[in-house]
Amino acid sequence: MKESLSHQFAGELRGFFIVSLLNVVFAAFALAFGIHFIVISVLALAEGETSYVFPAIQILFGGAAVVVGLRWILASVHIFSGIKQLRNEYRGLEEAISEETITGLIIRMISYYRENRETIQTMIIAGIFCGFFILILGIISSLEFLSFSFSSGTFTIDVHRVLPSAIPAYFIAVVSLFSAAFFKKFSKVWDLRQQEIDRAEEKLQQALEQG
Amino acid sequence: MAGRRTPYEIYWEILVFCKTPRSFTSIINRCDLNSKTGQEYLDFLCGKGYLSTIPEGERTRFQATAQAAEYIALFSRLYQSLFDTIPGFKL
Repeated sequence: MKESLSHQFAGELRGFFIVSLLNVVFAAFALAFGIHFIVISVLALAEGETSYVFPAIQILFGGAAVVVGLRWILASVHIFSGIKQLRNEYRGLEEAISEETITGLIIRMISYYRENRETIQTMIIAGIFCGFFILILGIISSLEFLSFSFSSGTFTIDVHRVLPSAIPAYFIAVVSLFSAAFFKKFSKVWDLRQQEIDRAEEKLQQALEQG
Repeated sequence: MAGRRTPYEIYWEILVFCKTPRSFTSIINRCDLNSKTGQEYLDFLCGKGYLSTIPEGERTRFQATAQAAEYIALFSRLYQSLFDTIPGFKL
């Protein structure tokens, strides 16, 4: 049982490590996406090809993405460094892991979760929101290059112009939504465990009082 | 990275660490406690008979008693069962 528990713990640690890393990547992409939007819009303004309204809106969206991306990176790095520290500790253990060592690691994991629960919950909500927002932006930018012929009744899309702008947006949206889904799954599991711990505390209290 | 621990988790950590006699300073360092809360935890555990004190000159060492083994075992069983009763996190 002890060995399977150790494997299960290691598996969960690895899974959350990957999700946290994915989240850092997403944050970096969101930041890059925002900067990209600002640069494109400023260039459009400088060239004077379009009206001021559309680039100004794009700059505002880009600025918002940069702010969100920066805050996201800081939060993600905090989450990631905590799980990395736990993972390194686990990897540094000898082959035969004692019951006390694994219990100690479970305590570390649950206390890590308690400490970061609010941030993780915010990331789930923000991840879903940003994912859909960027997905919509991607769809809108794709529609710009879509044309419809009434005479033949066919749709034509300029793939060469769509791909550079739409593909990164779809990629970030998918990463964001996946990241949020996995964080939600992780959070659900540890919330259930926390509830079990709350129930177990009665037994521990009784044991201590009998002492 | 001590995180947010419950008092029961801190009791367990102190008792496991004190399987061999330990000084006050080493306990608070290992269990990441400040002097005040560390003293409160040790007073509680000594009062309940889970820790005994061993005077060594001017210093005092703390050691877990046989009674502590029951608490350690119960705690470990309860925490390890979290992985049996609840489906784990998988990608």
